[in-house]
Amino acid sequence: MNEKVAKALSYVDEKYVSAAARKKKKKARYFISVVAAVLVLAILFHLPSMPMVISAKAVSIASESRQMQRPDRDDYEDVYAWREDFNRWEEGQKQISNDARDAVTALTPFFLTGSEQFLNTSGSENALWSPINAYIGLSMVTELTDGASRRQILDLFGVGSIDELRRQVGAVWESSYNDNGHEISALANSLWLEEGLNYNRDTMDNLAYYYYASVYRGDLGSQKINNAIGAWLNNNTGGLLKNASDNINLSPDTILALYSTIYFQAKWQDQFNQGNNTKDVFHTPDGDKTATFMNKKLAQMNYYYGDKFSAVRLGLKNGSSMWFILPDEGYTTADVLADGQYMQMVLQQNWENTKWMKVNLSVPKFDVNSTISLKDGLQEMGVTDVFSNTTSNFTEITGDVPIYLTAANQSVRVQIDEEGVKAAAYIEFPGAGSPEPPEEIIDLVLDRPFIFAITTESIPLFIGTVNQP
Amino acid sequence: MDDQKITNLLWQRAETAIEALSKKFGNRLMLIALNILGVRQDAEESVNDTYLAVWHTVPPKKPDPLAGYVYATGRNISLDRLKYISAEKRDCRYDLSIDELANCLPAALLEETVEARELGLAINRFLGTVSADNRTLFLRRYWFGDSVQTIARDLGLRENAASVRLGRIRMQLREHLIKEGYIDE
Repeated sequence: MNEKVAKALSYVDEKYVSAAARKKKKKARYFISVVAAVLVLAILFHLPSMPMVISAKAVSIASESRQMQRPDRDDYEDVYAWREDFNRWEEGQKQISNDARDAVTALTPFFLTGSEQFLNTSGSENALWSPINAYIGLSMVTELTDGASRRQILDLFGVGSIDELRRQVGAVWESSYNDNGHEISALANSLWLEEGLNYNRDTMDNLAYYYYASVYRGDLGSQKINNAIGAWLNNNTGGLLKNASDNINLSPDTILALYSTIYFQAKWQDQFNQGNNTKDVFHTPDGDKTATFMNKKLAQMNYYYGDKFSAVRLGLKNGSSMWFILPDEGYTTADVLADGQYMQMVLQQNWENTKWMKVNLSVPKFDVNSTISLKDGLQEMGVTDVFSNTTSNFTEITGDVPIYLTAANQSVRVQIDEEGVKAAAYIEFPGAGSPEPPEEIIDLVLDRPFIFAITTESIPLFIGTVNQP
Repeated sequence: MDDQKITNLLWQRAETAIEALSKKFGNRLMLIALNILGVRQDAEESVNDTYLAVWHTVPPKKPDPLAGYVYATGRNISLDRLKYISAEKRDCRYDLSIDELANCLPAALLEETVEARELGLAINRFLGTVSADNRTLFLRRYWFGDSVQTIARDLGLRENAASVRLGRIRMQLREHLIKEGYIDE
């Protein structure tokens, strides 16, 4: 045992110790209703030969979320001091929300084109991507690059300068980040550098500050670093992508790797009742298969519709939403994705085609995952120079050697199930001012390929097509 | 019985004060001692020594909060006892939690030139910057030496969520210490 550390803790304030010893009232056991996670954007930079290296060290450590924590009344003796902090916190939340809304407007073309590029599989597999994750990972690349390599990415995100991008990333990050131990929406970034590479210290500091990234040095390609990366990924994705993170295998000629993650979990605002589950047929592109469906009978909710689809939005306890979008008969998920109308609805941009109704909703339980390469799609979207060994410009990270991106891969896994806190179920009676009870009833049965989207503050965290629940 | 009444009993030198201490703080003290010493008999002796130490120091002290003072006394007594007894065959989970914490500290802080007091005060300053929930999580793990499983159960968290949060708090601590000038090179 490290005696010095044990002794050092004796200097901790006894007030803190006393408070920590109080046994908290046990909360009801937590059931996960939605879990999604990503291990993303492993961008590898290759060189023909590598300097040999020794160990792994932290170069700079991620800056934590700069969001002010919600002031807890119990932490204050003076009620006025608490009130003052609370007002400040509320103001901050409003500002973040406004900034994020502006960011989403600028990013809409990227979300739309990206979804069409990355989800439009002709096969029968599930396809998933995390727009926010790709956005943050690629934003980090702009810090490493200069000239046209940087310009192409800035154009993709609809911003004029790197300063503007930093502000935009800050707003998006702060409005999506939430981790109270129950509801989690946690983003994390890390950059791994080959030992011996001369890197630009300012760039590292910028990554730590603006992108909340940790930067590490070590012998990339060695088992030790593969394990360290795996552990980092596991820690930041709640172990959900363990299969992928246990198999990190960087090639020995990699000199730089960038990882970006998002881990999300939240409960349904109104959980599904497991007793209402049914086994029924889901029509996959390969033929019929049996799936477990979660059902809500005559649930009052907003029913959304477009030219080619119907949709509902289910609320999550952290204020996020999950959208289920079912193409109308005669249309495919690809048709809906290409048309793009759904994105306007998901991003809540003046969508008027909605009606308060009683909905008989049937959603298959699913646990889907996919790993896709973003490289071709990004090139189609105009980001070409970073992938070229002749035109790439990574001078902001190192002037040592010419480097370029060899891969940009994104792994995503999304699970949903029906459970919530059973003991806490309640019925809400709408008071005055609530919408009129609906007279019309509609069935929405997601028994054929559909699209889903998980959003926070209208920022799309995950979008996917489910062909095989 | 509230802490103020127990302190009053100690000041009045009423022998029922020991019983009151045992009733109010006995379970938690036993857990701390067991976490550190790993053997029941040693832990029991350590807890009894703690009551005695509190009896001898209050008065003249008038600790507020009393709980923090009693637990801190118990922890110090158990750590001292650990030094003098054989570590063989011990199921001492405190080693594990302390090493987990030590591994995240910048190397500069573990050098001999830095006193335990300096390190402790730096950690204390850090604890002043985190939320009450995170402070509880941190102290339950590294001060009390409770297992992640126990903490998760007591705080109504999933075990994995508790681990992830602890990992984040350690990273925050490390960043805080680096900002205070303890460079990791």
